[in-house]
Amino acid sequence: MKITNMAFAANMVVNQILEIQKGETVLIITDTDRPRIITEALAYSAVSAGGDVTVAIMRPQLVGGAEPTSPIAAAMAASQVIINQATYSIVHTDATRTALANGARCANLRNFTEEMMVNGGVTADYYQVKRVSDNLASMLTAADKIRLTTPEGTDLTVYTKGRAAIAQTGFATKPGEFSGLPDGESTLAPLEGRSEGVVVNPYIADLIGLMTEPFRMEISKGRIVKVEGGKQADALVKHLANNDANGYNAAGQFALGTNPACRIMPNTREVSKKLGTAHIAIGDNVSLGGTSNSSFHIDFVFLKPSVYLDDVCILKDGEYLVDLGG
Amino acid sequence: MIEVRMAKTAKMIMDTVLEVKPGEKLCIITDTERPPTITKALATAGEMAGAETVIITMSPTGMSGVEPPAVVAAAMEAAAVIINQTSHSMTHTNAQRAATAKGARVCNIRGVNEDMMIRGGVTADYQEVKRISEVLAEIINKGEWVHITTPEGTDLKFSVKGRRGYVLAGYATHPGEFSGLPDGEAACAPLEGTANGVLVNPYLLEDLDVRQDPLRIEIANGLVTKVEGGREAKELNEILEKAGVPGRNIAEFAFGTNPACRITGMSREDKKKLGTAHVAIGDSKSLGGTVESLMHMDIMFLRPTIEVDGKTIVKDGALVLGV
Repeated sequence: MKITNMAFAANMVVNQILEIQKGETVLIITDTDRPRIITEALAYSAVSAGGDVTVAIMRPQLVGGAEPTSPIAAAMAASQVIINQATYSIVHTDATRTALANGARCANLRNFTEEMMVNGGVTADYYQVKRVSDNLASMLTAADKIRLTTPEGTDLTVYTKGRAAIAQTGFATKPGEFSGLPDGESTLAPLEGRSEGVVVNPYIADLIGLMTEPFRMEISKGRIVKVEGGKQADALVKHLANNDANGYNAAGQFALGTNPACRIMPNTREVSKKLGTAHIAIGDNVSLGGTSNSSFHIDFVFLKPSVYLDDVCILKDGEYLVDLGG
Repeated sequence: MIEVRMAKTAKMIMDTVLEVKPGEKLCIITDTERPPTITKALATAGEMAGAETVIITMSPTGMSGVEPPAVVAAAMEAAAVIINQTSHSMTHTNAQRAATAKGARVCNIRGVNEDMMIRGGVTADYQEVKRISEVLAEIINKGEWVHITTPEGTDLKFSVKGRRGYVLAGYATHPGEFSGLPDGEAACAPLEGTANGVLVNPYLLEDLDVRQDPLRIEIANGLVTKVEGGREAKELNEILEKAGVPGRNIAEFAFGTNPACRITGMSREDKKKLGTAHVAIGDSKSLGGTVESLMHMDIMFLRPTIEVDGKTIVKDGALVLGV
């Protein structure tokens, strides 16, 4: 893979996502398991933008959310812009919270491969993603009832009156903002206790992974009432039983992917952002403006959904019927 | 594969110079102009020693004594052990002083190239370097007036009364200690305001490389008062213009004490060679002086004659004292 192939994505992160300004202190964090060429591409772009760039290489952490070693944490606290190119997410660490509280802007490219720097979601025009996301968010906010159907048999209706949709578009241009990449979705938290329907054979789900067995999840009065299928379904049943009651909240989230460059691949992060896909979640939805506080949040992604807003079809089998203004 | 040939030196730095212990936080600071092979050899040795190793890469600061970016300074302050593998010395910076004040041990291999990681000064018997350095540092401790002359016409006198002679023999095993590799110096900060004389055609000026044009630096009452000559004089005058009065301070006097060092054209190695001497201008705080400056520039002599209170210690680049 050539470094020149990564220039577009690196420039996008530097110039669009983070808007790095001349003279800003930029810290790129990576670890010994990550491809050095990505670090070089990012550093090259950041230096081109006039950033005062420092690269810190650490040992890979053992798990997402583990605190980075103290020299890295200290360097983060002194940075205006942070790009995490390490293997694991450092989103949920004191080091990141301190840096953001100090006004840093942070882009998270954790576990990026060379391939992901050249193809797919990160190569999008994020200004376009933002326009599409804003437009779809307006439509979702205006709707009171949303129906989701799929060729596999999913048919779910959620009620959203009074719930505002959020456009998640990957920008971190203001002090304290955080961006995960690739990004792009318009999303809201449906009213709790109202959703009715059935989810059949989604493409992929967090916790479970790519769906390889029959799967059927019945939802009534906003709760999961029945999950059946094979071992994958059993794993979810077990997970629900072993956790808090709010985990049964469904649908906790309804979302439309808005990134045309994202690809269909067994990676929830990327496929759930793809334009034309939809996803729902069960469990926690507090950060989306809902009231269900749970210890987990599991996404279910649909590749060829049809979506009806107050009975008007805007998306048919994964293709939009309305102008998205992109 | 040249990393493999550096393994011995890298291991020596961890085990002997720094005595790195398992679990210590080790920061290797480098910049975009240094060979990554050296960084890799050091990081591998650091991990072998059990240290939690972090590599920090920055842009070159441009000149010795210039503060590194705040991001790097913050990382240094949180480290137990620091290796400076950048292009320039950070010995005379607040960043390093803050780190050593917190107990960090520092090994300075700034400007070291691949060859220097394998041959020459780094291969010295550092016990011997230490012995020689201690004898010469003791001469500084007890001495008052130092007189340097060279065949090229340098003639400088200054007082070191009450100033400590620092032994720079490659070891940094105690909290707050720093070492440069290849190492070997007995150094001090001359008493401010006491230096008088002239430096003529030195061998090398830090950051300006080996001198080529004629150069004459006049010194009165501890400060550089006039610089004349060719390219080096022009550049030095520009630097002094930026640095102001503190940059003109006679900040350091040092004997080289490493018998294994070669004359390579690289100040890092050359100025440590036994029989050579250097003086520096600018910042003197890290050597017990009182002047803080944004610069610290070594000016080096290959064949000095050095007298301390009338007694000849070095004659035409050879140690006359039996050590």
